[in-house]
Amino acid sequence: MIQVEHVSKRYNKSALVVKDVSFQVGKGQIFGLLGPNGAGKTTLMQMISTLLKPTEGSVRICGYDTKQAPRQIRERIGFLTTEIKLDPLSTPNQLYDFFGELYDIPKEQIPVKKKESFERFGITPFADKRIMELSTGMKQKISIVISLIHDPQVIIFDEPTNGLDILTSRQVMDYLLELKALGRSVLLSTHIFSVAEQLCDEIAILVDGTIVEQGSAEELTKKTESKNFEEAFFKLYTKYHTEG
Amino acid sequence: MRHTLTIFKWEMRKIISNWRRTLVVFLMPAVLLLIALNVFPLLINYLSTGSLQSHPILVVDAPASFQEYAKNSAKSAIYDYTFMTAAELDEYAEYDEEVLQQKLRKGVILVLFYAKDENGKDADFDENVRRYYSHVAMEEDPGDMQNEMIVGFDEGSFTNYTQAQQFLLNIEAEYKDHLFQNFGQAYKEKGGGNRFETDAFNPYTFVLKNRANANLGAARTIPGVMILLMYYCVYSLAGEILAASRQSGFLTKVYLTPIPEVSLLTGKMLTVVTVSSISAILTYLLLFFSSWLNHSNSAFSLLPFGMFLTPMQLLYCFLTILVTSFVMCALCFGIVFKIRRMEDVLLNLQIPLALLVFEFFGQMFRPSASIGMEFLIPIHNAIMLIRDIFLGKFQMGNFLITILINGLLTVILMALCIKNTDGMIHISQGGSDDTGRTRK
Amino acid sequence: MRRAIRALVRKTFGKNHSMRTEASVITMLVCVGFFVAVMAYFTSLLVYYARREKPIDFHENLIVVNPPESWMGYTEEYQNILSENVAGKETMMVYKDWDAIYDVFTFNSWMDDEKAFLTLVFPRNFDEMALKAPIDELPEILTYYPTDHPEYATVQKEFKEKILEKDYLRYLQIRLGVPVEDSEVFDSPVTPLGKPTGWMHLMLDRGSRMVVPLLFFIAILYICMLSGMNAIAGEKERGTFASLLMTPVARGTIVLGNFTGVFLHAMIPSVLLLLPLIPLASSVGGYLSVLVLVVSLALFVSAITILISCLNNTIVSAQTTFLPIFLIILVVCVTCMQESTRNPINPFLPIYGHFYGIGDGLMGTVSWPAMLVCTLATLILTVICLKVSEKLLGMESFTVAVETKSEKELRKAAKALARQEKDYVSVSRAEVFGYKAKRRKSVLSFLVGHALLPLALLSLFQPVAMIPAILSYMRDPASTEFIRMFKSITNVSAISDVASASVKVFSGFMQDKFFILFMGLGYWAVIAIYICIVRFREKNPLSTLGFPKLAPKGTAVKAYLRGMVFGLILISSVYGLLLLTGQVECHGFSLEKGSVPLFLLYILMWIPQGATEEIMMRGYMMPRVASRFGLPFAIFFSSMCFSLMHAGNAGFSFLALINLALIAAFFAVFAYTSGHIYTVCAMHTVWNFCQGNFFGLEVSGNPGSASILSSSYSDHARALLTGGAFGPEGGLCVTIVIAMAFVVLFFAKKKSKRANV
Repeated sequence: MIQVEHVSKRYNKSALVVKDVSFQVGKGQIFGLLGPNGAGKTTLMQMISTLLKPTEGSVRICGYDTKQAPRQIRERIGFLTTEIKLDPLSTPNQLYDFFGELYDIPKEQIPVKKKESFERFGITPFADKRIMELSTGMKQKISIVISLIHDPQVIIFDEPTNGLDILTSRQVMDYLLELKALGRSVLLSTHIFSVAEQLCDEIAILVDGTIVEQGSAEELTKKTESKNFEEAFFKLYTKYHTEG
Repeated sequence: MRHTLTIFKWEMRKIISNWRRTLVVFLMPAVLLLIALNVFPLLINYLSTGSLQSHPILVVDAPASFQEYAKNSAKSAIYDYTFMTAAELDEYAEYDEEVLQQKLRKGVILVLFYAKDENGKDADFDENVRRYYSHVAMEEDPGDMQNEMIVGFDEGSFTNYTQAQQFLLNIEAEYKDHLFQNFGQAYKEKGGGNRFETDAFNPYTFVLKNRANANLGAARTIPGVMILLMYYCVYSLAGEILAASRQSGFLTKVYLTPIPEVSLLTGKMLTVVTVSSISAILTYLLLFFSSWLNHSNSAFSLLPFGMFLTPMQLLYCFLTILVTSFVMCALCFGIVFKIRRMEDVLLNLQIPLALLVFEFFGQMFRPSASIGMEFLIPIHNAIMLIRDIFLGKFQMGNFLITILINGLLTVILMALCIKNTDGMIHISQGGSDDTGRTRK
Repeated sequence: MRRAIRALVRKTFGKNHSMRTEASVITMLVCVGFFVAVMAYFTSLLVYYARREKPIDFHENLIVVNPPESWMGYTEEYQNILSENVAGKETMMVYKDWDAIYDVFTFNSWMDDEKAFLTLVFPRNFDEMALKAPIDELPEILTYYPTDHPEYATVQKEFKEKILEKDYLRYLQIRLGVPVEDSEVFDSPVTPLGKPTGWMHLMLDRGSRMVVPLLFFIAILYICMLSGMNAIAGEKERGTFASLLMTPVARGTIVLGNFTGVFLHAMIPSVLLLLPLIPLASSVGGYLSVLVLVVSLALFVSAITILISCLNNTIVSAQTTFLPIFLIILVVCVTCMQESTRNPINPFLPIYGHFYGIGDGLMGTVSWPAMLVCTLATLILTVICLKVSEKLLGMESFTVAVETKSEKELRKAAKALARQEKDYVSVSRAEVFGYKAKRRKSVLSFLVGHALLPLALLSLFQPVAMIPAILSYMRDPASTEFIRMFKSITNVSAISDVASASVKVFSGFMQDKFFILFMGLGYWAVIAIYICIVRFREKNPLSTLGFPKLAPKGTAVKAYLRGMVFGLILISSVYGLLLLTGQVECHGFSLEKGSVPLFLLYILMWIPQGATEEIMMRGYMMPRVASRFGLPFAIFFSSMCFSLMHAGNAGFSFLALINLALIAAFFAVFAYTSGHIYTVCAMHTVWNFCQGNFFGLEVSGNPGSASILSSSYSDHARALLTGGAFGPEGGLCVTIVIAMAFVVLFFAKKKSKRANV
């Protein structure tokens, strides 16, 4: 579903932020991007979700190229990032209706779908409160619901469990597994090992804009001859990270 | 088109749901202006005279007829007379021309009477008038007869001069008539005096006469003010619904939906245009009422009584405003799209505001008519066009040029915006803002 | 501390802030456009002073309506006077005949067709009146001119002064053989008492006193706004302020550091402006005083911006707060500019003192005490501002922007939510017409809204209804008298006269078919608005407006017919009582053939009129107020509103107030017991109709016309009983009848209750 081929990104005339990254995410797969802060995860995510254009290489989603057919891609992806906030003065209800119309969901289906997904995440009691009155966890849940409003084929989540308590992150993770079962492809970026370990079928470790190792959690642990996944990550990081 | 409407409805709902903001956006500038306009003459009055009351008028050696007139006339009731003799005046002025000058400078107006009889000798004013009329009635030569009312003021003070003129304008004809009614019996019997009245009661001409004065006054202030306030409205809205929503990342969220960028931009633009046009119309209405409520007839009114436009003129005004709000909006959007940092955006957006303030002052003291090339400058041409409408110098050609130029610029700017879609996305390059900036 | 301040100053003043702002190409282009506009401005000034402006193309002809013989004679004798006119073209005289002398529309279309700059309208009997030796009443000439250019007013004025009231008047006087007076004998010139001032000196003086101070003010205000808003509010917005507050730097130091940075910013343009002024200054002392004043002004404005920056959490809100201050200071500047004479205290005040002081300093007329006091006062104010800012930073609501703001708003939102929940009351105090309140507003806005809605609607639609009537009337020759009635309003001195004069005008309207027709339409519009409010805003069925669907199909019609009968009984008994007591005399049948259409229009008007008032007071207001405050208050409130609505009518008295309230209360109780307002609508309509157009009495101060019977008060009528000019509603008879009606209603209700049991 997602094909990233030799993608590089350079802002203005500075050094490359992402260097020659390639990977693929298949149908019904959860793919994790793991890396320290500033490794280029977000940039990569933004390139995949058509917000940025790669300097070199290409990204294809469902067969469409991000540079040539961004609109078709946007119809098929759900993108979630902490950078994108919801309008604080609106209520979840209003937001859902608004995005429902923007994603061209038939008018009569909007209330039905809304009820279903609001109940699933327990948003219903807060449906008429303003976003700014809600807690961080609730905001994140609403963000997720709205990102997935059009039932996308490909789901791109940038640190979805950031700032959430254990219960809520559990809920989010369960939901992702459910989506996976439905045959959706999920691209996940995180710096939390447990999440990556539990969820991802395949993990790519990103250091300084390049993928240094790729494979499932167990594979990576084995490869680096570590006790656990966490240690594996540290080993890889110290091996490939260069100062400056 | 449907998406444009969706965006438009969303933005409008957001603006309207917050009534306090709505009030600020729609009314605050207009109300502030209204207060400023109305307080202005009061302030000038206060500053020049030190009091808010009407100005004292010193009447020296007033004839009985003037005292009676001053007491009974409604027109002269607004003035505050102090009657004194020549000796008292000398005392008042402390026997010094300079002191008198200083007192005049505070808004005092001096009224002196002066009469010469047939032989050129000093005479009593009233008696002289009576004798004059009897001479006329008898068809005798009045000789060197002369009756004069002198209104004195300080030439150095424009305020004082205007007040003196206004005073004379208010009472001259009426007082002359008063003299005729009282002392012209002999002449009257012979058939002298007025044979008819002109427009003694003609509401239509009354309104038009006031309009002529008021529209000339309005042409000085209203165009500049309306465009200025409209830009204020457009700039604050553009900052809010484009720059601020980009800052918070919400715009990115909308951008990621599969709607065309054109719809997104036109939807937002439509909101700004709607709100700013409504606010401009409200401003006009407020100015209109403020003009019609201005009964003070003060010489310093920025907006005298009776401002009035015909429906056709109003229509042209409105169309100009509409097109101008489009071009302003496109301008603001263009600036927002080019610049990332919020502070820089606001600064850039404020520069036209500052320039418009200068423009306003320029128009306020402008005696000259518009020249053709001015209609080629966007936004400025709207000010000129509205000014011409108020002055009654409206020309269809100029109107079409204005519409064309502003429309064209709007389209060009919007096309540039749409080409530069990156402007919509808030990307912090890397993790936080700071690292992004240093990396740049 | 010193290091902290230095660090803060560097931060505010330093490189990574507005000094390195990004300017977009568009902004540059805007500046270029402005420059071109300025050039165009000066070019136009050149054109203006060279007197090369294109003259306006005026019309050249003159229309004379109903020209009297004297005018014809005058034009024949003095042809040359009229031949030269405003546009330098030859004037053609166009003669017309027209009776309606206020008919602007016809005159305007004539002026368009004939290319005329003026229309003179003479009255028919002008010569008879004007050419009579001792004159009794002056005839009036009316003038009209085209609307499309304000300059025509000047042309008209010139024409009036030079030709009409001078030449033509003299012509008339000569024909009468009146000796000619010499108006030169009466002079009232405005004579200047002053010294002329030198041109160069004046220019320099104006420049130094007006332009230079303004430049300083604008530069300082603008720069302070930019950097000041960025300093604290900007940091709060970016969320970096909290980290600064966490450091052990004292609050005062933070304020002082930011303040110094802003001040230094403001001094950049000030210094740039001050340097070229050195050769212009008249003395060293003067220049020094300018320096001191500019520095103190910059200090003061910086302190204000810091204060505002502390008060606000975002740049935008801070700028919004600062903008009014900016404008006020600019207004002060403009007032200072306008004035060459000044209040002696002003130079001692801040802002005023700065403006005057800068000008004085440059011109060398420094008043040292004023300057010192002004500077000192400014410094004190600056310190106060800074102290307040420091105190503000000690308060948590002004410090940690993002968190506290959301917390504050959370608290507010929680409060609003609690209020809302309280407001969603499902149980209403009393249910009338099945209305249930859905949500509540505050008590005051609720009551005021209910009281003002009918007033607003009526005061909107009644004047609108007048417009077509007035327009149609102006084309009618009969309007001359009518329009003069307006003059009677403007010519009165006491307030009571105004009232009676307006009644006269209004009664004139009441005889106009157009007015009656449009008033009827206006009432229908009000009804439509109420229906829209209920259906689309409240989303309630129409039964809550007192119009339920009644079970058998014709019940509503029957109820309406019953109401007509009841109404007839009520008003007949009032009339009967008046006849019996000998207060009123009936002169018999009086409807003329000509007023039959008017009579029919009246019927059409009274139907929506009665219904409108019932819908407003009983149908809409009563159930809504009742659900909030209970039935008794609702009846009282709606009755008082109804009563006070008529307070502006002629002859209104305390008794009228009570009576109207009583009638309203009766209708209210009747509507409540019957559960709908069909019957009361009919009663109201029939009451007003019979009173005005059947018996020929006055309806709540409005005189009726086109009545079937003609009645008048007898000579010994007493206003206490008849109500005088207000009509029977102002008299005791109505009180008696309504009281009886209440009793009947009470017993009928009791009976029906018993029947139900």
